[in-house]
Amino acid sequence: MSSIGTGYDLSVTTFSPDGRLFQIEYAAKAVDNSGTVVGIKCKDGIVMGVEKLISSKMMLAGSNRRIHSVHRHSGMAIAGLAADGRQIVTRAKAEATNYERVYGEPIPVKELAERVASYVHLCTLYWWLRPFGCGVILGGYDRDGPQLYMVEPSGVSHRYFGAAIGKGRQAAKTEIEKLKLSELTCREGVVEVAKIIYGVHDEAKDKAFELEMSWVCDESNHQHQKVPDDLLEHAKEAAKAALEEMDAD
Amino acid sequence: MFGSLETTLDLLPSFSSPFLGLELLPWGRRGRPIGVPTQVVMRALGQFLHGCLGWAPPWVNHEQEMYFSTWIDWETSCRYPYVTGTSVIGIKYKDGVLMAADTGGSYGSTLRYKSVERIKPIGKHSLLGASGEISDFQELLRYLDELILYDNMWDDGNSLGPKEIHNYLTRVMYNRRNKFNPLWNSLVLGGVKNGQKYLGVVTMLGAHFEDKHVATGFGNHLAVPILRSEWKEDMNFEEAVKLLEKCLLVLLYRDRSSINKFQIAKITEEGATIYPAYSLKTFWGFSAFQNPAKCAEGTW
Amino acid sequence: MGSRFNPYDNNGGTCVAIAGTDYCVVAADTRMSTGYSILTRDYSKICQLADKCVLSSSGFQADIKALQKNLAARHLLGLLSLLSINICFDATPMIDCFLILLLHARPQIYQHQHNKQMSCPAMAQLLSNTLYYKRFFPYYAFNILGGLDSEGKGCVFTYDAVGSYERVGYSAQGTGSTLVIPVLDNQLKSPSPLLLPAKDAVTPLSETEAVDLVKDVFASATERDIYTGDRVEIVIINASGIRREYIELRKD
Repeated sequence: MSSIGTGYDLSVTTFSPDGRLFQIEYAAKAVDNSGTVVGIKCKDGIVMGVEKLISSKMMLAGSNRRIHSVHRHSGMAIAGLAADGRQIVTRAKAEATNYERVYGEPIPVKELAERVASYVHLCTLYWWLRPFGCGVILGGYDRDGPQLYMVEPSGVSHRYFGAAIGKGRQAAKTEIEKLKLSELTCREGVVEVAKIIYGVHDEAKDKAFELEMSWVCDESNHQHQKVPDDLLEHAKEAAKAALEEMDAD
Repeated sequence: MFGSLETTLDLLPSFSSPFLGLELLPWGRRGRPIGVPTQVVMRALGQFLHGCLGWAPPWVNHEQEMYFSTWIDWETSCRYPYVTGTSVIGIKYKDGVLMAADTGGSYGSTLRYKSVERIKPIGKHSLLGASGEISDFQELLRYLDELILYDNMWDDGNSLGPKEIHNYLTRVMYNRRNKFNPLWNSLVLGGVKNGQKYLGVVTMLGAHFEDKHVATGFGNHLAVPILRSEWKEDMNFEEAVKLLEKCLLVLLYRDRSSINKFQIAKITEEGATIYPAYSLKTFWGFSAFQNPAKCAEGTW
Repeated sequence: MGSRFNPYDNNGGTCVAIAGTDYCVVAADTRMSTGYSILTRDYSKICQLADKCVLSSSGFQADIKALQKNLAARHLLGLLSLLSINICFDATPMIDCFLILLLHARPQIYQHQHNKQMSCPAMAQLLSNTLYYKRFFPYYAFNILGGLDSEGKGCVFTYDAVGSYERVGYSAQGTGSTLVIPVLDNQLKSPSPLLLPAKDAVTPLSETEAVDLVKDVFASATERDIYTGDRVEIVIINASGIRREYIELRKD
């Protein structure tokens, strides 16, 4: 990296002469090294999936969640440092409840994404803070329908049809682009996301992983929930079958 | 000097968000004027700064501080309810718990609101009924909504049962009385979880208990005696509703603030059902009603 | 301008305790009232705080519950794991204040620190401190603490609402206490506290005699005190453990 040794990468409050903030770029690196996180917007809702890398075989299945509910109607999937992510989730929860306390209705997903993004951005502005080492995918359902946002460590946030971060993001994005998202239902979407995550997982190089999935859709009554166990099992089976088929080819 | 910083923080949002109050009334629910003049906001802001930073802006002088302090005292120690609901009755029956209340909201002796829902489901396993200040009840519902939301967001298959909710209410009510700023309600909490029926009461001061049948306010005088003589273990739904209706009718005849528009709600293992409001058939033809003074010589 | 908000209520009830050489009987009725209304007929006023220590209280139910939770948390009972912030009760000299604050600035739980159950006299002191700490907004609770002391002798401690207390051989508190105390005085004849050498405060009765006396005084108090009735809960603590009995009372 060209910046090393130039001294411009020590602080988030100092630009390099060519206008970059290296600390933020390093934070983005932390995200790029984490397990893949995928979110897609189907015709009736949002599906999010995480390739949760298992750091220890003794870890209890289902622990160290990377998808969290933020309100009744929205949830967040975290790529990067899980602990940093929880901080963002806590803030997002606080923003969401506060909004509802004041305005008497659930926070619009757009508003939530904006508030979360400005919080993340805030942590890039002061020398005594460190940027978050994580990116989040935020999915929600409000009166404007299902929406999907991604917030990066820099505080940038965009709305997406399909988003992917983490190690396998490039391959995952290519796969998402092949999907007919406007015709896909969430039930089908769950299987597709599972296939993508199983597909981008590198058996040889990576640690074992657990597939964690959630959705907000018509079927879940516009509530952000874990994907039901039976559907998740079905999706895993389908993903494994698809992998074997590919290997056979 | 005025009350704690906490009190001040509690005050500020209500100045800036009058749309949360009952705009129909000349006073906000805590007895605060709703149309707040700018100077009052400025003064409040000044007091707020004074409270947090030990510094007051020049526009706050000592006289205003004195005015402010008396105002706070008045608010915390002389509260009384504005719009109130009357009795709530709750009984255990075969499949769970039934609750009944009318839908009136009284502004003193004026029947101000006629369709106030005073029984609400809380989470998956509980029903909450309230008599007393309606706005305090609605505030409490907001607390509970948040409590349930934060519990649900764990998405771990656990849920708060009636026992937990009852205990939570107990703590909220007692805390508020400790701050001399009580929620002016008597609450009935009923529920079923894991085959266990639960029925309890919390009073305005935080006193609480469980029983097989309960009633608040006038109901404690008029409905409880009926329940004591006629309530049986494991009544079926029809019997239980009949018993509740009998109690409601007595209350309707003898409790001046009761109205003939009732809601009955049930909670069972399957969940909560709140039935639409309906009226009971009354009979006012008793001779004692037509000529009440007949047998009471020397009165009226 | 309307009357001041009254944060207190009296939910009534009577508590009685008698200590013998090797036992302690603690009893209370189960009625809970407000004004002229009965709220419930089956509310226990007796709370077990340690293996050989029970607290019986009448007064304002919400305060009593808060007090019980507070004590239970200090002692750490299985069912209650309240993390109450510990409060420094001692009138500490200023110089030691900082050190003491440091030592007390975490929840201090007796069982964790001492690896044993609190003795009844220790609990008695703790209860007094707890009540006195709220001297200027008191718990409206009238308590009798009964149990066995470290020698296995019965002990009764009787309190006022702000923490003054005394170890006695028998006591009664609550709405029916004025009816009960004279009877107990007459039947048990406590040795005068002025006697020298000091005499044991325990009563000469046997356990069964004491339990029968308790039943009698409750039946009598129920006749004249509207706040006493429905049922008595009698807790008997002796070397073999804790036993409970219930006797029905008038319901009117």
